[in-house]
Amino acid sequence: MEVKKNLILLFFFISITSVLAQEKTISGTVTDDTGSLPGVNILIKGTTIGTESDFDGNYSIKSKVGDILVFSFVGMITQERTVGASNIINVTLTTDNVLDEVVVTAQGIRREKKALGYAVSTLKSEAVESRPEADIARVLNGKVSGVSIVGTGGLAGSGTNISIRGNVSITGNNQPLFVVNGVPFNTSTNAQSNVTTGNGSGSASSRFLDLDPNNVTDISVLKGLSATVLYGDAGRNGVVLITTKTGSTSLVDRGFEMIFNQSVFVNKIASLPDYQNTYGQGGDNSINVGFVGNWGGRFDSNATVNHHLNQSRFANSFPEFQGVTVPYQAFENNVEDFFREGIGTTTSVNASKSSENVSYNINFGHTDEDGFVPGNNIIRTSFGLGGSIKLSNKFTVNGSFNFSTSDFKTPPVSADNGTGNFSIFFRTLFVPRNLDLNGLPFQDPVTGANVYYRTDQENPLWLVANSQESIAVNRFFNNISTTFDFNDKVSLTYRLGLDTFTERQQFYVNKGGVSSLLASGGFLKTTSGINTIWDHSLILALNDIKLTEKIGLAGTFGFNVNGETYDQFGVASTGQVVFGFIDHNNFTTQSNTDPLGSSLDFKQRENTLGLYGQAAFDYSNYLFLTLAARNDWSSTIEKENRSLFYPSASVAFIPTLAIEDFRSEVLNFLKVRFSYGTSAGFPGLYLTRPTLPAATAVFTDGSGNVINTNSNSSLFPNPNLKAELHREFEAGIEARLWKNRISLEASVYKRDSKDQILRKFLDPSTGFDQTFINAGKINTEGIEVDLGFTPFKNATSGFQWNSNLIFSATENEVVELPGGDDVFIAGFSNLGNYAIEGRPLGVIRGSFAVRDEEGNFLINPNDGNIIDSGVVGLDDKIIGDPNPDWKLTTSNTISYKGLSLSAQVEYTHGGDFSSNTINNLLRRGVTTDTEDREGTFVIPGFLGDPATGQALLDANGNKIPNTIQQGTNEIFFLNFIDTSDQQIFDGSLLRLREVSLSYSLPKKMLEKTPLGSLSFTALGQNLWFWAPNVPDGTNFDPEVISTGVGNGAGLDFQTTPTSKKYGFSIKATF
Amino acid sequence: MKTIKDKFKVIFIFLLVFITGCENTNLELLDNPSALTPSSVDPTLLLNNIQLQFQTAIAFNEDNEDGVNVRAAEFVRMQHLFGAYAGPFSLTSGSIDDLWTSFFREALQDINTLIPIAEERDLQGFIGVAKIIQAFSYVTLVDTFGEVPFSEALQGNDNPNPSVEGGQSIYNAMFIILDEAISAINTPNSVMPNDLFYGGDRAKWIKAANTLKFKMYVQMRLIGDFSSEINALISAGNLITDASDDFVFQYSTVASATGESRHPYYALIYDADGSDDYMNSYYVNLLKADKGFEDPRLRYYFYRQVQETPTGDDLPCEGEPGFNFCHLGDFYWTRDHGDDDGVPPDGLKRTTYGLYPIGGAFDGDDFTSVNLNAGAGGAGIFPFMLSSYVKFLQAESALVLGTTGDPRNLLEDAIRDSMDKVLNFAPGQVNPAFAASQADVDNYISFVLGQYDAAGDNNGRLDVIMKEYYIALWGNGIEAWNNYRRTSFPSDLSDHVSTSGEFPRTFLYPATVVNTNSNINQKAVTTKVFWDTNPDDLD
Repeated sequence: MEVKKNLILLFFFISITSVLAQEKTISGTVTDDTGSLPGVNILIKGTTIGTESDFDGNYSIKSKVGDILVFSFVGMITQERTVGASNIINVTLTTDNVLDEVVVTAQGIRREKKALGYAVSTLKSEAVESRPEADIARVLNGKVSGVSIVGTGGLAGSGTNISIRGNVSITGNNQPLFVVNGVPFNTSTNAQSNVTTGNGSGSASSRFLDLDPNNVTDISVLKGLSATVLYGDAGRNGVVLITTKTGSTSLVDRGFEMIFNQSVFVNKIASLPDYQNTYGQGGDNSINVGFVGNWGGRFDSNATVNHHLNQSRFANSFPEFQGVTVPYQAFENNVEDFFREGIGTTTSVNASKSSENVSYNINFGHTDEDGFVPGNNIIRTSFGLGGSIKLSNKFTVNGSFNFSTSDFKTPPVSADNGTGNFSIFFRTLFVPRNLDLNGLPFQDPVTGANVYYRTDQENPLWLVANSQESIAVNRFFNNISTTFDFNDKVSLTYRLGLDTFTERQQFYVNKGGVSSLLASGGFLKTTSGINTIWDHSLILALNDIKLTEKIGLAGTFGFNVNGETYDQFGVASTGQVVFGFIDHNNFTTQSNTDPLGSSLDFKQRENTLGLYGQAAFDYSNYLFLTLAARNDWSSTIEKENRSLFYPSASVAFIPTLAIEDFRSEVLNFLKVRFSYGTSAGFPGLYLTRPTLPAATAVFTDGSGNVINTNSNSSLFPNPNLKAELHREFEAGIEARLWKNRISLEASVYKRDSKDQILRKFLDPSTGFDQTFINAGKINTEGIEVDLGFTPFKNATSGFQWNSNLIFSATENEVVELPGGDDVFIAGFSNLGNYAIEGRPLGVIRGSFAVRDEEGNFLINPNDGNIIDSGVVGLDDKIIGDPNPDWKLTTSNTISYKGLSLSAQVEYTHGGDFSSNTINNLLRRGVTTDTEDREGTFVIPGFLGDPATGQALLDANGNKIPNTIQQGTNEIFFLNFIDTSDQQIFDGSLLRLREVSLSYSLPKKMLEKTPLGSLSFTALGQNLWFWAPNVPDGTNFDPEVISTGVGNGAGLDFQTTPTSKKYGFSIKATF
Repeated sequence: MKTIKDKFKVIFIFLLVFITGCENTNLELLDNPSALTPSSVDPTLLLNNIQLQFQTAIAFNEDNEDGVNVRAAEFVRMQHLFGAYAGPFSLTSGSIDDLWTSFFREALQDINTLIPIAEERDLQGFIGVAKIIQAFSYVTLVDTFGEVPFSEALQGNDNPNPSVEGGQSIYNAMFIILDEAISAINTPNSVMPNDLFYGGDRAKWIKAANTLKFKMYVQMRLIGDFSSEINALISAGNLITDASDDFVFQYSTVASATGESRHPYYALIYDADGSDDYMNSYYVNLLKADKGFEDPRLRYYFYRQVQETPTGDDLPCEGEPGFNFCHLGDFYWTRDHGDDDGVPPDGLKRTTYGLYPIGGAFDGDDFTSVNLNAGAGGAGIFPFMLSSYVKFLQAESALVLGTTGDPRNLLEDAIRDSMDKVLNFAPGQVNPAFAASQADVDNYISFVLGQYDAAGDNNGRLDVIMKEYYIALWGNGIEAWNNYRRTSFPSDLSDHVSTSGEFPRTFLYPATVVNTNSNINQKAVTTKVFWDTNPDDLD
């Protein structure tokens, strides 16, 4: 009995001991063959309790004896250790031959990458944070294969054009869908005017500007249709899935962490032309200081000329210049000094804590960037709060709340050639060499009016001081989702998202300008648009269901309701009363019609319902089949065409897992994949029913009666309009070679897009300007290759060299267009992008120099000029293809201990562009290209009849070579470069996109500080580029689009040049 | 477990209600909430747009887009032509898109919409006015382009590529349309619109319709004998023969970016950067010195901004060979036909449009640069058809075809009508010290009649008539271009000083047309209108 008692007591104590043992802390270090491994996930098997290894690979976790700890890390073999007596468990992970990386796919579904039958590119926060760039899209440039990103110009905060796998819609939207924390995110560029009239298209911000790149934790780019099918028509152009730090929902025990990021950088104009400083204003080698062109006499002629303001109209304002003559001399830096070095700063603070049941994250970001254009600035402040709570074993609630406020300002920039446009770039890059642009007054001291040497355009300095475009945005985007876990295999989630912003845009010019009534009388236009997206999703998820021993199934079924409204209010005021005071009360007339455009007040509503499902089967973990489909109902078209069903299927097969012998030292991993996907593009709003717009106060007669009008809309309605249909086949391989030193991922795809919704421009003699029809077919095919290579990797010395190569090539062809009609896409009708049957999408069409059959110029025998097709009466023809042949990006990182040097270099091959900037630089004779000018020149060619465009023949029936001598002035002004084809250039371009040098302090140095890590980075963007096929002296960077965000390409009408940035950043964690 | 299930049920039901009751599930969002629909159309507002767009198509003048008048006036030396007849700063297919749109998509399409509505509501006067504007538009289009879409036009995408039709058949159709217009207006108690031309005056609209027919017959005189039709119109006495019946568009002084109501030339020129165009040396000289004395209309037509003589940088033509008039003297800053020298900043110095017909400033030796409200503030007119024009046409017809009337008397009447119109245009603006007197007018007329009498043959006489008509046409280059193509007169139009290219017998088709309409191809400017059988030697 005594023994029994003792035994009981003993058991009692043992059990107490074991109870105590349950609470013990296990710690240790995780390493791989190169050293400590941070970020390893450590999870107690069968629970959601977990932690991560820190910067030095150390971890600690509370657990009890008998628990199994699971150590997992991307690209490594997962290891399990059972907790025993020891409190220390050190683990060395070895590289996996299998890619068991988990990636975020459509609708937020996390899947192992190896199971995917289509391409997904992922980026981590390191790829986008601490960059001298507020625009997340521009940060992504060159980092993802198959994605093309072109800024509308170099202004800080201006819009950015993105396309994934090329444009597939002729006139529809080709910009990808952004999904932030699972909820569609509006990224529109709400330009208040188009390229042909008014300011705004060349500068308006794209609304992904509201995302702080420093708040991003990861990005997945879904490119093909099988990857995006669950988003329905919204996903047809690819999907950029962004998880913000505040939207991250992982519940692992990671403790408290703070990240602080600060950068300071300089923003400069990327390039200026090489100016000649030998000749100044005038024509035909004689000086005339009233001219725009620089075909005057030599500066070394020691001439004396009238002061530029020695004009009778300035007699009262500037008596000091009257009768004054000055030496005729070059002001060599007159253009350079107009620009400035802008300073930008970015601050970001992130604090997070997570435990097994609760996690939260607080984010603050502030960016203040001055552009190189005086008066250009973007300030953005963002706040974010996110978290996740596990209410019980069954309920989990996640939420993230983000607020962003931004203020963008720029002096006016817009395409030249447009009606009523203002821009500081119209003539600034080619001001006369002898104009002391920055040294002369630009404003009347009494009236504030424009002062310039000419009366037909505003002085750019006057515009900087007296005109501005601005966009102020307050944006709130948030989501809440509730998940109920029926069991560990079935869960139901309801997610509600709200994304709403108010965008207030303003454009003004003070009175005193010269170029139009708006400029001389003063003009103020203010619009305020409210965009709201409500997004509801109900999602049933099935996980890890074993159908047989070898066949597993995961499924997702969802219902989505998405409603978007845009409601804009605007006022345009003319007739400023008091100079310089910007308020609608200070203007004499107000209207809600833009004098250069249409009504500023309008409403738009669009609803979409979607029902979708996906079933993913796997067989023995080496063969995967995914079937998915979605049905959409859209409010933009009539009932008969409203519902659309899109299926997709994909297969992935991993021979290296299926067949043991397949795997070797050389071939570590191989996957082949095939997929088929479909999607649709619903038409824009209000295209199916007729309207008759009214306009008020369009005329006032002599008796003061105000005349209002009613008129047919320019749009011919099409009640039969339906969605355009896309389908795509994709095949790819993924491989790891040479002990994982080489990774290769390659995809080829072929897409056909039919029933294109065409904005068909009509001859106005039909009574309408345009209609929307379904017609035409575009085929796109392309290849994307991501090659990773680690030439050196030495664990002991810490020296490592990583190299990445991204190659993309896309080719598209308009294979069918109704009736052989050409469809205008963007630009101007006589110099713009077109869809033309049998040609790549977006070819440039314009006038051309008439040539004979052999391609020689035909020359007008009367004056020696080339013959302009437009003058002869020939139809415009295709003069260029703006689609590049291929793009290659290489990024190399060499690291040694804490030091790391990396560079990203890009090469774009081919792609024509039309440049008004280059044309004007040549035409006005300001660059070194036209410096050799004192002789005469003969345009090589044969004489032609200027009336018929046919070659002239001599008595023997031979063509007559041109021998007419011309001065350089005659060649370049109103002659050689005036037809549109003569201002087309090949856009091949080599660019150093990014170079950085960073240093992380060794852990030991930080031991006695509260810092967890500290790193410094010096970083430069766009520091150098070389466009070999543009005229040497122009130094023109073709990576700009004057037509703004949209489907235009390769068109420059004096766009803002690109910028280069360099600076310094610090990142610290606590 | 039960409570969790219950909780879940509650939440689930709540969510379903939220989703289904939500406004985001409504798919009937097809009507644009910001625009009117056809059921709410207003005939008066439609007719307003028709008149304004008709006027715009002809008279508009801006940097990039111009009405028919601008290019026509450049061809015939009424406005300065910069460079070749067809070139980047003159006629290009891209710079005339808007006029085609104003004619077809706006005016003619709205007429198409208006007529059935007006028939339904028995607004006969609206029908009449709309048809007269329709006829005037088509006649102008034929005279400008030669062949244009007509019977296949205005059907939207149901006929996206309307073919052009011969000018003769469109003319024939317009004679019928004009007869229909007259009979609609003559319907007893027809409801007239309060229009911008005649304020709903039935008699004046009928005169305008008959005058248009008269003009069309005279225009066709090279291809047939229409003297009986012309005589019938003259004897019916229903033509515009009195200035009070003039078919003009009256502008006002209201400057506005969204409702500009001033003469388009005034709006372009009378502002801070001054004149955007030069006066043509030849045309100014016609009034200034051609006859050896000043035309009484000189100071009404042209306005000198500065009392300076252009020299140096301001006179690029100096010393260049081939100029007819590098400089006219007396502070008239003008340019020769086709002069494309670089442009100095002389917008506030060039001689520019005066009081008549754009409502600018009378030249009373003020020598003040133009500014926003100078002169008559832009309350000018566009003279579509004046009594003086009708009399010049009658004189031509009487001389050549022998129709009713004495050509010499008609010439005198025509000049007197022109003088009356110009000299009394805005009397308040005229500085009496520089106003033309009746004696000036009489002296002028006797000089011209002397020229007429001295002419050796009908050709010489017609040259005198057409030159006087040409001078009277200031502000309407279209009729001057029509006359020149029909008669080759005035015979002494100045030469082009540079490379002119072919003289345009018609416009190129607009870029918007050739780029969108597969049935219309671009054509040469040497293509002639059906009534133009003149030799090819015009330049």
